[in-house]
Amino acid sequence: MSDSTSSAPKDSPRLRGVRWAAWGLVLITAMAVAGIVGWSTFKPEPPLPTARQLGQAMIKSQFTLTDHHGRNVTEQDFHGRWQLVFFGFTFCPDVCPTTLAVMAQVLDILGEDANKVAPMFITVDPERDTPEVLAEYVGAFHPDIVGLTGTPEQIKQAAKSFRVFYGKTERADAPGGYVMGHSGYMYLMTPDGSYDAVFSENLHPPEKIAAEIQRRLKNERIEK
Amino acid sequence: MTVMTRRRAMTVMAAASVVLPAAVAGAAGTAKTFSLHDAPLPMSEVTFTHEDCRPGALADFRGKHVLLNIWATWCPPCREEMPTLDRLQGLLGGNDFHVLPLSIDRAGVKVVRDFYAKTGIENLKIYMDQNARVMRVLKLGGLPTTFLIDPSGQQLGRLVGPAEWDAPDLVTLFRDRIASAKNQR
Repeated sequence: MSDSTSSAPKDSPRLRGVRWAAWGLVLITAMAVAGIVGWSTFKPEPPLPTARQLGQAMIKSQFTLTDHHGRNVTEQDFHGRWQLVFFGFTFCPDVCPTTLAVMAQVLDILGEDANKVAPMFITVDPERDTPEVLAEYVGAFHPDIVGLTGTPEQIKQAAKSFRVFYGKTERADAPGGYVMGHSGYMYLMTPDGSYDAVFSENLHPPEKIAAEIQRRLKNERIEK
Repeated sequence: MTVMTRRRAMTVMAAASVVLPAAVAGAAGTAKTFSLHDAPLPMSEVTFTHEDCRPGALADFRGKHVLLNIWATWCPPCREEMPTLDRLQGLLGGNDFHVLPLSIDRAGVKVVRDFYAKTGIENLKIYMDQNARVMRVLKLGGLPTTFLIDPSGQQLGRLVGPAEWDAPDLVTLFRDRIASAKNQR
């Protein structure tokens, strides 16, 4: 190995030039890599409500479902209003999420502005959550919340459009023999059904969610 | 290019963060038992209304142990454990101990009254927090959540999820606490 290198003309100016160029390239690459890594490591993340990095381009409000009155609805029925969407289920065996209670509080705080928002609860457990079950359930939280169910295929499509994950876990000790795992986030969608923000009950008190919505409504009024 | 990769990474992270709490929520066992904190913790002030709409507060119960249970009629595990809380109040309720079931039902006192009647709740009183303010005050993530409060108003323990509150081991634990508080006086 050393033979082959020693046999090369060491001080050829041409080779020296190539060597310098190569080292230069290495240095530039290293600096670029360091820069990218540093940028992505130290760049402060904006707070969640205004963050728009959750693959939002892929999230879209798109569904054909049945509401808690038994009517067939699509996203078009909510067009023109901001959508506040939560995926869940009515039957919680251990701990019940309080997300719908938070949603109800948000609507209370919004007051008159609440009519510019369509609050929706989409079940991921259509087997148990019939329109009748949903009617009683959403009614316990807020009269404006729309409960949505459908065929397993329709639910799958709706969840897919929101990029929501859910799954059924067989569990012998749970009444009915299964529990549903699902994400606990509220999605805020624009009046044309595009992704705008995601809220977590733990991080965002109802006042904050309401303020975020109000800010958007205000901007909307200014734009008009 | 890097922005694309970064965004893709964010999506994967977002997906993971969605799946993780789901797994926890789905896999949580029913056999969780109530246990005490290593040391008492401070407790935020909790207020409510009594069945007759009079305002009340957790502070009104200083001097006795309080088992504060946050619940709602729309919460199946809450409904399920309610008879065990009722029996516990029957066993230990009085000058030293009080079970305080605080309902966050928006629909108000009527649905709670109906539930008590239907379930045959005899020993528990009705406490309402219709605006669910307690959820923020105590930073609750789900229902039911139950706190054991000592006579000075400090938090001795907390359980998220249901329990069999009149099971012998828990009754013994509560009796021990009551006895040791009395000895300290």
